[in-house]
Amino acid sequence: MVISASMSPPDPSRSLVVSSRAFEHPAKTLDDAVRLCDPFTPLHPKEDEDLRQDLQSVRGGDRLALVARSIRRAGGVPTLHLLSGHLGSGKTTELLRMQRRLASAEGGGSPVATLFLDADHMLDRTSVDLEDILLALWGLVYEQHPAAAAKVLVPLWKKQIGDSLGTVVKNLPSGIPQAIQKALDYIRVQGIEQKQVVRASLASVVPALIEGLNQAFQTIRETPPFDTSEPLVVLIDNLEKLSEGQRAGVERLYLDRLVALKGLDAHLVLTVPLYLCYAAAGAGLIGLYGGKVVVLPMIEVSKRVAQGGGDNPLGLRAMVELLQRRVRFDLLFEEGDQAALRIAQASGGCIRHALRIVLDAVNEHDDPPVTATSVNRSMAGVQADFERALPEPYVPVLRHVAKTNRFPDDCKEEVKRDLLRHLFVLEYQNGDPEPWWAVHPLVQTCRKFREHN
Amino acid sequence: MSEVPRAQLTRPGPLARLTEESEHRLDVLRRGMRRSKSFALFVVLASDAARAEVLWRLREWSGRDGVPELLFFSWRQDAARELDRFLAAANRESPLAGAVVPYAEVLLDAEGGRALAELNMGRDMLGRLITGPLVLVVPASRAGELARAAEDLWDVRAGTVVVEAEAAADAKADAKADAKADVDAGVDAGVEGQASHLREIEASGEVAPGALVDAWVRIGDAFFKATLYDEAIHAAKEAERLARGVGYTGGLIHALVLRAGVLETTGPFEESVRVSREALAHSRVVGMRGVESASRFILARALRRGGQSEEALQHLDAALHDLEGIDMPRERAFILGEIGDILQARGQLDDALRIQKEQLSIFERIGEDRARAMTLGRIANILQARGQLDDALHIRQQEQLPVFERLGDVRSLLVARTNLAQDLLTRNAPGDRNEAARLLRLAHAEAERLGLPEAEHIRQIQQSHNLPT
Repeated sequence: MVISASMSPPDPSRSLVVSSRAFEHPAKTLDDAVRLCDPFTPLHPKEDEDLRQDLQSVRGGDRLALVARSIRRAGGVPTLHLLSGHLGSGKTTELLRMQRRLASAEGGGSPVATLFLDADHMLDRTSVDLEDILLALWGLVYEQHPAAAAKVLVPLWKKQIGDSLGTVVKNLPSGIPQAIQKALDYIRVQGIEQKQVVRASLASVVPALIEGLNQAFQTIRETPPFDTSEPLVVLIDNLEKLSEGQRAGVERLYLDRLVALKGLDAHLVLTVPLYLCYAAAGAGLIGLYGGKVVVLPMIEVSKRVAQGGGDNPLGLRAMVELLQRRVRFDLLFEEGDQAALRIAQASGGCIRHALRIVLDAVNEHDDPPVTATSVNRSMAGVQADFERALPEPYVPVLRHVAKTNRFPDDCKEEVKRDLLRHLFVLEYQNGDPEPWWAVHPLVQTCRKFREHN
Repeated sequence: MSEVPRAQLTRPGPLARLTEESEHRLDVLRRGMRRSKSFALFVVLASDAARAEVLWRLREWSGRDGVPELLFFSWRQDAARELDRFLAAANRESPLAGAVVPYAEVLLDAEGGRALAELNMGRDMLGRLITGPLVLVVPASRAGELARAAEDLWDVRAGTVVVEAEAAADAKADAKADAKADVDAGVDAGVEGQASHLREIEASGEVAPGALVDAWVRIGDAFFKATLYDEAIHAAKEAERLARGVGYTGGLIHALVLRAGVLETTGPFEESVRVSREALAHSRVVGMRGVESASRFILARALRRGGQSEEALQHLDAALHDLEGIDMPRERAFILGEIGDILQARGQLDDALRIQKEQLSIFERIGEDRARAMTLGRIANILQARGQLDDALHIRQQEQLPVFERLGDVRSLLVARTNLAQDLLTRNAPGDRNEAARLLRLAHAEAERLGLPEAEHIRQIQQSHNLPT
């Protein structure tokens, strides 16, 4: 089964631009409020600029702007950045924004050529390996820079790669983009053994695949408006969403195989699972890659216990303003802007949860105002999700986190991973070198958490 | 049998009367579906009659009053293949306006959850393939699995809606009451009164057929526990009749399982096997692993009663396999207990003991005191068979009896006292005989008072050991 036969990566905005769905924004009607509080679609880096809230001051700076700056200042030396963060923290939105910033020469300098690989779209996330990624990058070059592909990739394909692949993929098309797509599709749909056969075939030509990409990158950079002094940037998004059952595969990919990507003559920005940044295995990430880990934390809406606990006014204000860009709480909600504040507090700084709470509360009504009771019910709905999902054995760990803002020393990695992955625990980092953690506010109201002895 | 007939059909009234909260949540869902102008995932947690009612409502809403036209995927196992074909062939020039997966757990169960993994993986594409709501309907008990199997899709859902039928809400309260104080009366006038009332309600036409099915099954269960087997069979048959009439497959399966369970007690066991096989066939068609596991369990017990232990074991193994990855520890424990009993009967005492201990740990973990005490009795039986009489006695006296006394479970208590007495008579240490006689007198008196068949068995024990009755 093939989910998508198209080599074209999806329009990164995924579907309609969020702001274009509503009659106006911020929303003055409940219908528009629902359309603008969509937890599914990331913001378009250009068209949804009005909806985007500057979160630098409450997320430890604009981390991806720092990455972009670091890339520009690297003097042509390829850099590596590993990007991580909670789901719903806005990684894709910020990555797309950074791509746009690099491509448009924002902030000075020449435009930088970029290749954006959405692993979710192009690869079999249940089983990803280096060869798949390299092949997919070849496909992207064909798609977006056909001239460069024709110049440098065709000879290499004919000489080294096509024949090798043709022995293991039946009826390989003669057209190279079609052949690449067929090979990727083949890897996705086939069983493990067949995948391994194809990958083994590609493994023998990995040097050729890398050489081809480097030649293509060189050609692309030589093409105006790009600058030969600037390496090309490869962004790989959603690679971190490898299924949990594949943990051994995840670590093998990141710690063994992806190191070969350093052979690319390009800046690399790869997303990485959050837990790997904290696992013992993850400590090897920097050593192996020599790069930098950039974590996109949640918006810091509360303070550490050591700082007295309670609300962080700056973070809350940022969250409230983020919501106010989408919805006119003063017009639509019984409590006015106080509703936005309560929602921001309950969300723990998780944007997606905040949007869902607004959504659900609004849908309680045909007409405004949205009552405080509806907001409470909506929060209770998110809490009920946590209640259902929270394994009781995790509660002692959560209590420790709530008390100390860090995980117990003897906390198993898989527990830590699970708690972060499912947002029972949220990570914050605002200016300090070390992150800190807190239990999601709505988890703290769960019966399992409250009544545990 | 289709639970939601696809042809134009006059709805035979509501399939379930939903709780007030559920009605409210459905209003919220409908508004959300009407207002979404782009892909929006809704997860509805509902099962049995409540699910049937939700699906009817979704059909009624489809294409009306702002809710887009909804495509309904199959409710059978081929839903997974249908979804595959949809994702592969989806025309982005003409995306779907909305869609419903009526039994989303099929996506979890079929082919190891591949379809759901594909849906999750293609999450980013869904906005182009479906421009409105996608509704996944799944039992609340499977919500956690769905969340873990399709994490990314779960994360971006627009809402989760819990829908319960009024009968289901009552059943929860009933279940709690049962856990505290099991039936200790041979005749429960209340249950008979309920059955009578139920007939009046059905005649009035006011209550949804699906809810009536569930109610008859509950009443049948109560009759069964009260050892009113004829009444239990009648209730099961009423439930079956109604369920077949409205196409409520889930209810039909429950009714068949109930009838098979009663027949397994009363005989003829061949009939129990036949009815169990029918229940299993229906549950396999529906593709719900939990229900299939329960059907296999009942069938296995019937087969074992008929001396077909080998086939029984095969079904029990399959029943365990059905539960893999599903959070149903109680059901798993009962299956283990049955396996342990078969192994014990075969003389494989070490294996039987290991399995019963596994069962015990599950009941301890989930806090099922009564079931735990029953398992302790099984363990004591094995220890006794191994010649570890003192250990068996200790378990019965110190761990098992106090639980039944505390729960007021008279029947289990008298059975436990009888077993304890027999162990004491076997050991025959000083004082054992007198104590055994005392226990048997107590047990016999209770059994006679309740009109239980155990009374005759106890009397025979007393006679065989020349003990006063």
